[in-house]
Amino acid sequence: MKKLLSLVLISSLILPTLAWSASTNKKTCPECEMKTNAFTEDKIVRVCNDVSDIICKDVKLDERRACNESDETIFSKATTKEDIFKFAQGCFKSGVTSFVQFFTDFLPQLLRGIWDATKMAAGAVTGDSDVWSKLKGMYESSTSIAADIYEAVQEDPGAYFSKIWSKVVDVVGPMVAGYDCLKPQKKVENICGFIAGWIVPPAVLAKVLVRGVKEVKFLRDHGALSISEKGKLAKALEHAENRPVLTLKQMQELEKSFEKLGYTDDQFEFIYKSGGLQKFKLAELKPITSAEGKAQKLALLGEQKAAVKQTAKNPGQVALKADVSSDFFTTTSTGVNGVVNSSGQIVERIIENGSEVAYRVRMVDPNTKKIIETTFSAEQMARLNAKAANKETTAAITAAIAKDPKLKSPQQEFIELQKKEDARLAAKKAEQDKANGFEVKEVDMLEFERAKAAQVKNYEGGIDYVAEKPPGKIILTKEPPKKPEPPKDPTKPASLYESGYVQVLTKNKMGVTTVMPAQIMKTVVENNVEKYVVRILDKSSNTYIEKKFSALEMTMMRAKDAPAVGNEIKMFDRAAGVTGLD
Amino acid sequence: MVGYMKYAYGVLALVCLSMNAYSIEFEKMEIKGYEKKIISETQIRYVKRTNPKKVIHLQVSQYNPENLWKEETIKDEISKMFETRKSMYKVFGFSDIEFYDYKLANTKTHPRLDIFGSYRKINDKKVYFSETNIYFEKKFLQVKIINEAQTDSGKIPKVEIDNVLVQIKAQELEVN
Repeated sequence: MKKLLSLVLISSLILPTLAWSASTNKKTCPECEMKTNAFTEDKIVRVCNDVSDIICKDVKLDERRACNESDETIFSKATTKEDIFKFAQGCFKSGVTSFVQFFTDFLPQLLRGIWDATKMAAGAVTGDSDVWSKLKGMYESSTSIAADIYEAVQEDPGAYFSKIWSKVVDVVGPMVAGYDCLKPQKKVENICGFIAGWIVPPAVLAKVLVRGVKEVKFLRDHGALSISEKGKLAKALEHAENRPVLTLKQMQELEKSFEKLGYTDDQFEFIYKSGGLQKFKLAELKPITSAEGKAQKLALLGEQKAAVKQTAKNPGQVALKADVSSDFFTTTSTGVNGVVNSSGQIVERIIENGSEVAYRVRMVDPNTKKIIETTFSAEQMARLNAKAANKETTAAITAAIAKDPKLKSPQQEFIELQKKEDARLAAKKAEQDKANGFEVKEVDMLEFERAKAAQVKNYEGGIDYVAEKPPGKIILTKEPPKKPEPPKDPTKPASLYESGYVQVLTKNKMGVTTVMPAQIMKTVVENNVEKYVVRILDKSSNTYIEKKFSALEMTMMRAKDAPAVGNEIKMFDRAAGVTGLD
Repeated sequence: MVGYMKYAYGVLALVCLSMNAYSIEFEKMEIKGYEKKIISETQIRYVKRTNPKKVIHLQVSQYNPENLWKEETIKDEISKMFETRKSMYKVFGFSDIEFYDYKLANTKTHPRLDIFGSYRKINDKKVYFSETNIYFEKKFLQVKIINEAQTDSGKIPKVEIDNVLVQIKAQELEVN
């Protein structure tokens, strides 16, 4: 009797839908009638006034979808995967041009599409009489809520879409969240492609739940969906490989079983998504309060902890090269020679969320007296009290050296060792270069920057290696490419190292700031105002530009923008005749 | 999550279903002071010209005539429907659903059920609604006034929905 009742009810639900679909075809979509006729033999009903008509209005008719409600195949039997892909592509094109329409018109239509899935779900619960008793008031409620949904979507389609779908489908959640809300078109493109994968097959929602990942992979494999390798979606796909295919009912039963064992919903979700269900048979699992259960929990959720650890290391970390002229520290350690002071220098600061979390340092090994490289955590460095010690020690060293130039501080020792080490490595490299037939040329900072820019612009230009710190050396191949010589300036100072170097920051129309290395060439007096003639290297064109700056402008450049780079600032101060800047 | 999905199935079925009812002559229905937009063959939306936050939705949907409301059980049935609707609202991102009044009227012509309530949208804004369901032979007409307002002054009085029904001549309609 129940089955009969269910059949009657299901029929009463399905038949009006079919009738509506058929009647709509005739009324609103004459071209579709033609399409319907073309499929008559396959009994295909073309669904018009549907999602494809809205979001794929620019797509050729024969690339749109048709629907056969009776055997739950929306495309005809002859439809290939390529046809489906074309459909998805079409969605991209028209979705981009009608963002709001996509959400306002498309979303309700999508709900209609989910009807198919519901039919399937209804079939699965026909034994549940409670479902049918709830139907009283459901018609009114669903109608009523449809109006509320319409208003919510109308007001803020993107927000509503995100909110709902992140709840409904776990695959969509990371996807929606992963796209930049400032780029709605991108969002539409991808989600449209995604959705195309859902509505093309019939059992929409169920399919997304159970096989949604398969649809995503299909679109990805066809190039319809670009997925960042490191993104959440890619991880979800990876995990999905290990995930067993479960029906909703099976999933619910499993969830309840895990709950009884003491796992939370979130933990169960993680275990399911990470492929943990295959690690143990359900019958083998013990309550998490038992010793065996604890071990099982650790095995099942271990990856969750690891994932958290991994996340903490990766995002937002930036390695900043330390200022070469500072950041010394001194540490005391006990080695084979007893308690010794050792000195080092911070080479890189690892920044995460604006805070320094670690430091890469070079220091003197107190035992071997050789330079070693290691990493200190922020806590370790805090213990060393590096920054405070640095200032105090530097001041103390300066004072001590002033009194007795022969005195060697730990810092001096470090610097000397470092110089020796650098020299040794440079000599070794030079030897190798020479053996390989390269020549070494010493250049000043501007020439160095020019060469570096040339290297970036044209790697084939012959420059194989650029030294790390200007002024420095560049190594050219035996036959360096012939390039126009930079203009010669007769006022160029005799010594490269006595001139003032500055860095000029420029902004283009897009607001992009570019740092250009520059050199003060001379001063001139114009209208009783002293101005500085500065030669700037334009990296983009690899040419020199000369500009005049007043003393005030120079001061502002120095104070506001120009990064302090070692002794260049001192030189600049002297050249400009400005005091009290530091 | 999975619990939501179960509800989603039922809800979406009925949302979709509600859109599939037969049409009535929507073109002729005007409400004074409101701008009309025909959304589909079964749904019209009216927006108040002086306050776009106030809208009226007219929808036609189907129901099971053998399972109509009864005076003696309505209290319990409304309570059940409230719980169901609460779950449905949750699925669709709404919260704080409240029914603060209802009224069943078995008139000579067509039975009518009014519901007054409120909910919060995803942006936390409060919405008051007044809904009337008028039952015809096989279909029912739902008139819903939705008003976004921050205080209880946004509640919609019964007289307002009565006024709408008079204007659209609801009792004279032949929805089937």
